[in-house]
Amino acid sequence: MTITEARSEAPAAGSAAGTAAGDKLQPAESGDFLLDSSDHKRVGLVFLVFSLLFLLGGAVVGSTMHAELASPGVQVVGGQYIRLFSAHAQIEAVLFLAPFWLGLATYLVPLQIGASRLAFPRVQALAAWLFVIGGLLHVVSYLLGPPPGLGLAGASPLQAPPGGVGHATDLWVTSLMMVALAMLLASGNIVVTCLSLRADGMTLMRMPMFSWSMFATAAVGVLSTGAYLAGLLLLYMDLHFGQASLFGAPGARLAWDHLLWLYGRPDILLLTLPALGVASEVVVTAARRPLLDHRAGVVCIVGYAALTVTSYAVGTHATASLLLPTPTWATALVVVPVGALTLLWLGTLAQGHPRSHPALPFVAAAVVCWLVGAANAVIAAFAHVHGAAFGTGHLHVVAFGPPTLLAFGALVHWGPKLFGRPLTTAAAGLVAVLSLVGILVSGLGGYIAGYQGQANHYKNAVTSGTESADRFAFVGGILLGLGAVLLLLDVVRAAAAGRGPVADGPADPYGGLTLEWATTSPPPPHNFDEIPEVRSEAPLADFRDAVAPDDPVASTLTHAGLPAGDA
Amino acid sequence: MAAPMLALPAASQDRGRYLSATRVGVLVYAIAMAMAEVGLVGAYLAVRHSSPKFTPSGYHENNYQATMITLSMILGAVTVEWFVWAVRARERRQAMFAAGLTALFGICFLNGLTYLLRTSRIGPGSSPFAALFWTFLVFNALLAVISLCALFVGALRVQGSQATSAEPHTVRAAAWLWQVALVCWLVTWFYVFFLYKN
Repeated sequence: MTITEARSEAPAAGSAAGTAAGDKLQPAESGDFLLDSSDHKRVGLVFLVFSLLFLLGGAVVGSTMHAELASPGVQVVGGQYIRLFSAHAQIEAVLFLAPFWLGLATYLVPLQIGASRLAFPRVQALAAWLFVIGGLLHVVSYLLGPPPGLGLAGASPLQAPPGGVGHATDLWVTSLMMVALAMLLASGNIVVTCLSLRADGMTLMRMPMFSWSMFATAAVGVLSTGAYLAGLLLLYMDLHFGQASLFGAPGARLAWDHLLWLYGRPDILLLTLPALGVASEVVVTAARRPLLDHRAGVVCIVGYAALTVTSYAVGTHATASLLLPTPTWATALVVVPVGALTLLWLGTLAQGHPRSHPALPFVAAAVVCWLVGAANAVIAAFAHVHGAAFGTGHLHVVAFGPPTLLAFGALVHWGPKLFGRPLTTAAAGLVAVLSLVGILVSGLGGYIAGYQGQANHYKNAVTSGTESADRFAFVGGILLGLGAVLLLLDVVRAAAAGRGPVADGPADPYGGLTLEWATTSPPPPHNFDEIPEVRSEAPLADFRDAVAPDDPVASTLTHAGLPAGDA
Repeated sequence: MAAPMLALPAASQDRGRYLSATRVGVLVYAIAMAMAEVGLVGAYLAVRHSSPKFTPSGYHENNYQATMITLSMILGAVTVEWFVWAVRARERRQAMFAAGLTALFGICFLNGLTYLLRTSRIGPGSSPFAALFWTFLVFNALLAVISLCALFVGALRVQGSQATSAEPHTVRAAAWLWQVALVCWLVTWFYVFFLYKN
């Protein structure tokens, strides 16, 4: 018996999939061109492509910065170090990871929950282009001239001196407002889509882990980005029309720090949350069974999201080190859901029928990074490390390393859906190794410099004795960059091979359990010929079990780990 | 030949139990608006607390005008509910009249806000208070403009029979947006004008 059938032609408006589920599930109208398209898959690709381009730009800036740090004194960038430092941090934090996850969610969440579109397709298209234009303007603001003293996100202690405001600063703030508005619109859309457009039977508890992680991330993003936008408006009023009376006054400037804190602290932790969802999806696909306890996994995701918000309660003393992992109880507690999820992944692999999966090395690499970070945090706590360079290393190993690795892993895992062709397994393995070594070596440089007491990476604070550590960081950045370039070349190859009017890529090359694997690669504009009905968190396993009940693997897929009556 | 797609069982046609995307969307974005307002209030209170003399010399405080435009928004909140009721009761002419009245109150509010800004005698960046004052009022003006746009769309959909008593989601969403804008303005009025402190 076969479990597939030929996909029929795309249904005409008002027929087939559309009428099956009522008008509200009609696929959104899509233009022929990228610019006027509101198809969530095209819009998602806009987010993904530009966020990856920003990653490359930020990596080049970061490498230049580390080249400067490799020796005491100023050799490479003259007086532009602060500008480079700010650009690197802003681009990687604001223009790469957050929009990357939103782009992936824009593409995948409707497919995973069995919807034919997002709740507000045109809003998402608006958000995507706002992000692109805002992001490019943000980069231009650094080229126009240094936004004076804005340093890292304009936060203390690198704030603008009164009167030092120019066009570059105006553009810096305006472009950030555009990007933040884009993030807010896109996040809200993901939340509404998850709440309103799920397929029949797709209860909230049955939503796939990646959709859950993006739902939680977007929900917290809606909370925090609103306050951030208000802060940016306040900043613009103060800087553009006045003499930075609010921004520059020692007492009053805390207002901006606090508003930035409301956004920045959850945002840094939230970069990891979608990565947890990606890792869970890769593990269940490789293990060929649902997560050992799907409900426990969801609780971990929600718990992590809740902990990002509790960081609001930490107090104002930590605002000066806004983007560095501050050793507070709220930050430390996120170890609990991450650790619990890691145990769930191990248990799932042990109980399933695991096979090699090209994205699995990325999950392993991310776990290694978390372990290295945890070990160094313990050492630092006992050794009373004061060098802020330690924080930079820790940030790269814990806060940016694993999400970046799993962002790469997500491209590998969902490559067939995104590009029409799977990415090369050997290339994926090499990328995972290069990226892991790059992140660890880069972070190790920061750790060692911190242990040696280097003050910080804000400016050229390298002193005699810490150069070798900073050279480590430089080499690590180069290795990570090589991994990223290799991955992007493979993506370009797959996308070129997958182009064409007919979706002839492998629909389900890895034996996935969730709904996105039920459609063609790449998916048609309407996603599914029939809006599917869901009976568990592994609907494709149910389907395989129905058509091949004697297959022991298929049977395991259906029943393992599911409550009685749920399967 | 087209690639195969798994043949999944189709969902039933009864999908009415999920919430309207329009209503949920307005609620989600309203939370973001509320967070923006809360953030501004927090900044206002923090700066006021840290400044011995908060308001700059020359600032003209006009609580009377602020209270008048507050009343405009409250009246608009009543008429926008009348708009929703009329749509539900299939009274299209009443609905359009109520929408027109609400729009009028909204325009009065915007006019009053610009008057407040013009007569405050402080530039937006002249002092910490001025930056906060202008940001508060511009933010509330933006909320009012968004609410008016939603009202306009709702009225058009009523006129075009797309929003009906059976499917009043757009109209309900427009009304909710108005109420959120009102609550945000009430908070602004309370802290910036009612609890005015020199």
